Amino acid sequence: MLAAAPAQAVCSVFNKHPCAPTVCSVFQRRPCLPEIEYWVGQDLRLTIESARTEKAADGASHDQPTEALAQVRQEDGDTQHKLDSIGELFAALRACWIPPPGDEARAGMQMSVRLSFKRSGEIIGTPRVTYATPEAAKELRENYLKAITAALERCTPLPFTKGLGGAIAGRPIAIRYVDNRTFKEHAEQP
Amino acid sequence: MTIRSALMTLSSALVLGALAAPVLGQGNLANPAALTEKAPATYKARFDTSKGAVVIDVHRDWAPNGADRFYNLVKNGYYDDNRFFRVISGFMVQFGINGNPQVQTPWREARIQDDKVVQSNKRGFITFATSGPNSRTTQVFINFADNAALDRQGFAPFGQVTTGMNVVDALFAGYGEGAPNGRGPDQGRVQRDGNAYLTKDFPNLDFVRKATIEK
Repeated sequence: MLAAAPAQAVCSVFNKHPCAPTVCSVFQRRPCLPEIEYWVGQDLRLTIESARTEKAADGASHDQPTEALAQVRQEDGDTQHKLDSIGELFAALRACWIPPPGDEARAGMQMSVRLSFKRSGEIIGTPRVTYATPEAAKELRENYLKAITAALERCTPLPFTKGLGGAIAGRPIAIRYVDNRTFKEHAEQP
Repeated sequence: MTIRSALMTLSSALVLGALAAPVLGQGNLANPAALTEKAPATYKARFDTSKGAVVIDVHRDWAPNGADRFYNLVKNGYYDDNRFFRVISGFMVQFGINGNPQVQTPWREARIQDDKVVQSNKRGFITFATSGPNSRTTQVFINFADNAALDRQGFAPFGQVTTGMNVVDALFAGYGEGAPNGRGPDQGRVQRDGNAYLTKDFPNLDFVRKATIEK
């Protein structure tokens, strides 16, 4: 399973682990995502919103691929459908997302990750969590991180065309997951 | 790091600092996991309400998990300014949702394990409310009458009102049962919007001015 780096990690020269450095060193043995400052509008940002009802959310299973995902992963004989545009890439990432079930989720929860792909469609290194709703409990954050990790595992390697693979390789992509589902309130009472 | 990065980092820190300030101002209440002090075998909790003072004697041997949670909440000021949002005459009065949603939010998931029921829900006895097995958080209720039927449902009293039951009886009960079954406050909205919602739509509710552990 992919292990996402925690958001609260503080980068230091004394760190023994990769830590989203602004400059990648040639001495680093592990994959490194350099923080390239793209002009506003040129960086890749995707928001994936969960906006289903509680009934639908409870019915979803982590192991059950969605219909959209099946289309992304569809193979036609020996010819697999290739992703050839940013739009198709984002659609594929959306298709892989299955939010945590209702009893493990919370309306309004947000979590963002930052990652990059290789030309081959695999993820470079590990996704980094860059934001989580501050007041969310540790268990809740873990539930969402688990769902995000599962979604990315489910998706990758993404079948890029040669052109998209070359264009997208190494570019940071920020994905923001927003849970706007409505859950039935369980009132406490005697 | 470029000037742009530095400015973005600085602005993010300022925004996060501003957002975090109200929660940090609540001391340990922002972190339920830190409030797990074991309560004394018996202790008195004093509630100064808008109608007068109420003293509750808590017995840890009645319900250890409940008594510990209640002790930590009272000691750290969780119940201060809480509204008595569900008052049903002849049954019970319920409170324990903090008026500040930023404080309340982390406590919604801070559940404790159930205790065995060793006392009955008699008049004046105080018990945690639940939404199912092992789901107690912060809400409690005081029985107006003998509610032995609640014993069989797993409601374990952890204390008893020893002074001020007349004050409890006088709490405003005009709104009755909460929405959607009644015209009283909606628990979901109380959780989300806190006292802003209650003050606007239910101005007559009585409230806890200050709750303290008596020495």
